[in-house]
Amino acid sequence: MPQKRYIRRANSHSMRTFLLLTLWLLNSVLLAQDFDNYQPLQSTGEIPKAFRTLSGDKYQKDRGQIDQNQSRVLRKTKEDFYLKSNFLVDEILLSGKVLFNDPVTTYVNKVADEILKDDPELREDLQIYVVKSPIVNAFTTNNGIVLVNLGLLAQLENEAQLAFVLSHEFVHYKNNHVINSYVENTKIERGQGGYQRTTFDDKLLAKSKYSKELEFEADREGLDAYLETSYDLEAVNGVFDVLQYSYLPYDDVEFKKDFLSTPYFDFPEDYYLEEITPISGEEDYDDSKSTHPNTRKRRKAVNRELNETSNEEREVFLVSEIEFLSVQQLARFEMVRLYLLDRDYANSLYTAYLLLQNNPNNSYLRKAVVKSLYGMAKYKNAGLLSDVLAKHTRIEGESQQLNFLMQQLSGQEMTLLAMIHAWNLYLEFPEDAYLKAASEDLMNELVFEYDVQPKDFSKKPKMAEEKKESAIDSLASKDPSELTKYEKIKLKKQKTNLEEEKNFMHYSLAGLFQNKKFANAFDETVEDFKEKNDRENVSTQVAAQEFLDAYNEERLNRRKGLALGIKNIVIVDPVYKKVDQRKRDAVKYLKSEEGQQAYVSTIERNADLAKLDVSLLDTKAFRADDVELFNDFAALNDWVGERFDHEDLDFVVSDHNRMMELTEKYGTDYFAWTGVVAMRERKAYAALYVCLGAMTIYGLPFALAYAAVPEYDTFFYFMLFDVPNGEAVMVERIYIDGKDRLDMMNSFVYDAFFQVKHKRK
Amino acid sequence: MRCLTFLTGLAVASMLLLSQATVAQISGYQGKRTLATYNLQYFPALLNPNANNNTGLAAFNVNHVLKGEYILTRKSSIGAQARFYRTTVEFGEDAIIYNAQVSGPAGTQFWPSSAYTIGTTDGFNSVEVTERGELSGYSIGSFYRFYGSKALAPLGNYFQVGLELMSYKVNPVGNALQNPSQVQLGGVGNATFRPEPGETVNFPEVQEDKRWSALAFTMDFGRQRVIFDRVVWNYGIQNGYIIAGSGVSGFQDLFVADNTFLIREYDESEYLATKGRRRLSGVLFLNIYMGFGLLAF
Repeated sequence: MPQKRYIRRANSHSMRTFLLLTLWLLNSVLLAQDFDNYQPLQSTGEIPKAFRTLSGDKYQKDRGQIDQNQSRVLRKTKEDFYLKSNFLVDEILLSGKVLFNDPVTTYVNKVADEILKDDPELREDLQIYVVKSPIVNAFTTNNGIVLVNLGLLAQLENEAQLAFVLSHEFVHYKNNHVINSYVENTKIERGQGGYQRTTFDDKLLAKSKYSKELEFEADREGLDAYLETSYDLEAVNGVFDVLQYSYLPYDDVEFKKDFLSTPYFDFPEDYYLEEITPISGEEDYDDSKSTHPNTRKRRKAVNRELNETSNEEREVFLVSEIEFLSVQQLARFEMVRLYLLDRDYANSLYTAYLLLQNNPNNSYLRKAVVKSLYGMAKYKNAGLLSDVLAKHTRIEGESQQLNFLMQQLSGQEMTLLAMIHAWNLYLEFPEDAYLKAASEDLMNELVFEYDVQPKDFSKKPKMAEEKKESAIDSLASKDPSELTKYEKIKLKKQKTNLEEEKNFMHYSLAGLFQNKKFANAFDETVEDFKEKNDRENVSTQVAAQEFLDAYNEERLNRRKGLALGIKNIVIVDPVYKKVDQRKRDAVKYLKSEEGQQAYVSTIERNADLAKLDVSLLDTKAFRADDVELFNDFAALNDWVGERFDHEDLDFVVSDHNRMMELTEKYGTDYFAWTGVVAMRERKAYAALYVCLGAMTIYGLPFALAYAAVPEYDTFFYFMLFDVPNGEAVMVERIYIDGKDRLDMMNSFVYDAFFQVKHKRK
Repeated sequence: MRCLTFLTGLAVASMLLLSQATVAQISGYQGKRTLATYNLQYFPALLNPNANNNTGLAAFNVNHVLKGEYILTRKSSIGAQARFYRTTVEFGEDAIIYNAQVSGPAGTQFWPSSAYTIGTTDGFNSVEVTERGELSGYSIGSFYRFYGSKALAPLGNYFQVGLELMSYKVNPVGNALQNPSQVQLGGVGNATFRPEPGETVNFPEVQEDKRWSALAFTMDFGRQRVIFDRVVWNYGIQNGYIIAGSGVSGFQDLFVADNTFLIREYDESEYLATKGRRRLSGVLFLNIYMGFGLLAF
C-alpha cells in the first residue's frame, strides 16, 4: 500500500508536473511570441462589434434610454454627453492603438473573469481592451469599455495588482462615474445646482474635488470587490508604488559604461556622471487641481480597510503566473517600440538595455538600440536634439546616465556611434531593410554633414596604451641631442599618434574597416560626396541650369499639377470633420460621420473615373473578419504618426520593415492620407458692418444680409507618401472660401487622383 | 477692320492650338475640360433705355452670350464667345439727322440723302424727326480666365479678360409719323437746328443695313460651379470698354457733349457709327450675369 501510495503520489507528482508543463507549453503556443524575432502585438480573430457599430447609431441608442421624466436641462446635458462620449471613444477604438484578442488582452480579460466570476451580469456589460500606449494608465468609458495601457502592464509586478486596477475601473462603470462627472462638471461650468458662478480657478477646484471623490469611491468599492476575490492584499499597496514611480522606466539598473562602446573605442570618463540624481518619487504632492488624489491619501484610505482583513489563503496569481510574466514581457518589449514611435529615444534605448540584461542576443532589442541611436543622431545633426531628448537634470535614477552621455556627444560622435552600431548589426543581418536603410543614411550623414573620409580613421586597432607610452617615454627620457635622426622621427610620429587617440573615435572604425562591404560603401559615399561638390563647384553654368530646370519643373507642376504615373495607391482612413466654430462644442459629430461616408463614396467614384486603382482602408467600413486590414491600418497609422512628427527630417521610420511588408502586400509603395474639414465660422466685423449700414440707411439691407449669411471655409488635404522612402511625393492642401459642396469635393479628389495617375508626355 | 478680323481670327486659332497642346495634361472637372455655356448679361436701364425703350430699375439692358471654354491649366482656361445684343440709341437734340421728311417751301418734299441749300426766301416751318434708333449686333471674341488660388478650373472664383470684335448697326425706330417730334424752324419753337440762309444742309439717307465694327476689352469677376457632374452654372460681373472702332475718323471721346454730333460736323454714317459706339460703351461698361451650360467633354 505504501508503495502503492508512493506510486500514486509519484504518479500524482508527475501528473502535476506534466500538467504544469503542458500548461506552460499551451501558454507558450497561445502566446506564440518568439521574443528573439519579436513582432509587434496585433489584434486577431473577429473585430468586436463595438468597433464596427457607427458612433451615430450608438448615440441614438443611448439617447433613447434617457429618462424623459428628468428635467429638460439634464436630458440635454446627457444627450450632449452621449454624443461626445460615443464619438470620442470610437475615435480611440478606431485609432489602431487598441488591441483585441491578442495575448495581452486575452490575459487581462481572464483576470477580469476571475474578479467577476460571481457577478456575470456585470462581466457581460464590460469589454476590456489593451491600448498601445506607454503611459501608465487605465480608464473606463460610460458604455463599459475598460482600456488598459501597455505602459501600466509593463510596470505592474503581478496579477493581483492588475486585479486591483481592474476592480477600481469596474466601479467607475458600475457607478456611472463618467456620465455623473460630466453632468456635475456641466453644472459647475454653468453655476447650477448649488454651484455659484465663480472664477476659472474655483471651477477647476470644484471639478477636481468631485473627480477625487469619485476616485476615492472607486478605490473603496474596488477594494471591497477585490476583497471578495482570493487575490493577495499586499498587492494593493504595490499598485500605489507603481503609480508613484510611474514616471520611471520599469526598472532602475545601472547603465554600464561599456554598453555602447565597442572593442575599438571607449567614451572618455567625463562623458559619464559621477553621481546620479536619486529618485524622489513624491507621494504627498499638491493634488488640489488634480483629477486623482495623491498616492499618499489613496494609500491611507485603502490601508484602513486592508489592515482589518486577513491575507491568509490569498494568492498573487490566480489565473497564471507564467502567463502574467509573458504578458509583462510582451508589454515591456512593446514599450521599446512605443517609445520609438513617440521619438522618446532615451527611454526606448534604456528599456531595450534593461531587457537585454536577460536577453543579451535578442535581435529585436539590438535593433531597437540602433533605432534609438539613429533617431538621436538624426535629430542632433538637425540641431533638434532637445525635441527628443530630455535634459539629464530632469531625469532621476540610473537612466539619467544615458541622457547625460547623449548630451555630451558631439554631432559627429553621435552619428559615428549610431553608424557603428547600425553597420555592425547590418553586417549581421544583411537582409534587414531597416538596418540597410539606416546604415546607409548614417554613412551619408557622416560624410555629407561632416566631410569625413576613410583616411580620417585608423584602419588598425589602437595599440596598447602602456606599450606606446613606454616607447615614447623611453625616447623622450633621452637627451634630445643624443637622439639619432631616426629616433627623432619616431618620437615625433608617436607623439602625433597619441594626440590622435585623444579623439577617441579615431580607432572606432578599425573593426568595420576589416569588412569589405563597409569599406567599399564608405569609399562610394565619399565618391558621391565629391561628385556632388564637383558638380556644384566646377561650373556655375551647370548649377544655374540645374536651378533653372528645377524652377521650370516646379512651375509646370504648379500650372498643370504633378504627373506621378502611379497606377495604384492605398488610401488610409479618409477623414471628414464638420466644425461649427461659432459653437462651444465645435465638432458636429453626426454630420461628420455622415460626411465621412459621403466622402468615401466620392473617393470611390472619382477613383473609377480617373482609372486609378485605389484600395481603401476605411475603419468605418471594416467587417467582422477584416482583422488583417485592421492591423494593416494600425501599422500605417503608427507609421504616419511618426512620419509627421519627424516633419521635414529625412528619416527612416522605426517600423520600416513592417511597411515594406505592406508595400509588398498591397503591390504599391504609395499610401495616401486624405480628409476634409468643413468649417462654419463667425463672420468677421459683422456688427461693425451693420452699424455702418444703419448709418447710411441704404446700406443696412446689405449689411444685414452680410451678417446673416454664415461664413464657410473648407480645407481639403491629400498627402501621398512613398512609404519605403518616407518621402511625401504629393501634398495638396487647399483652403476653399465656401461650403464643402459636392462639385468642389469631386473636383479636388479627381484632380488629386489625376495627378497621381497621369504621366507627362 | 481687316486688322481686327485678323487679330480675332488669330486669337481663336491660338486657342485651338493651345487646346491641342494641352490635351489630357490637366484634370479639368472629372476629366472634362471643355464647357459650353450660355450667359445672360444684364444691367438696369438707368441711364439709357433698353431695347423696348424703357428705363428704370425694373427695365434691363440685356446681352446674350454664348461661350466655349477650354481648360488650359489647373488655374486657367481660354475660350471663345459670341455676344448678341439689342438696345435703344437716343438721338436727343441732334435727332435732326434722322429726319426722314423735311417740310420745305410750299409743296416741296425733301427726302433723305438730298442736299438743300437754304435760300433767303425759303420758308422752313418744321422738321419731323426720329428721336431714337435701335442698336443691334453681335460680337465674336476670345477670353482668358485666371482661376483663383483657392479654385481649380473650371470651378471656383475667376478673373477673366477678353477681347471682342463687335459688329453693330443703328436703325431709326419706326418713322417720323409714328414718333413725331416737331422741331420748329424759322424762329418758331425751340429748334436746335437752325440753318442759316445760304447754308447747305445735307439730309443723308438713313442707311439701315450699314454695319460698323468696334474692338472691346472686357474684364470679369465671377464664380463657376458644377451640378450633377455635367451642368455648369456661373455668375459674375463684367466691365468692358470700347478701345477702337471703324466708321469714325479719329478717336472719339466717349464723354463729349452731344452737340459735337451736330450734322454740321458729321455725315450721317459717321454720326451713326459714333453714336452707336458710344451706346455700345454704355452697354459694355457694367453688366452682371448668370448663366448655365454643359461640361461637354
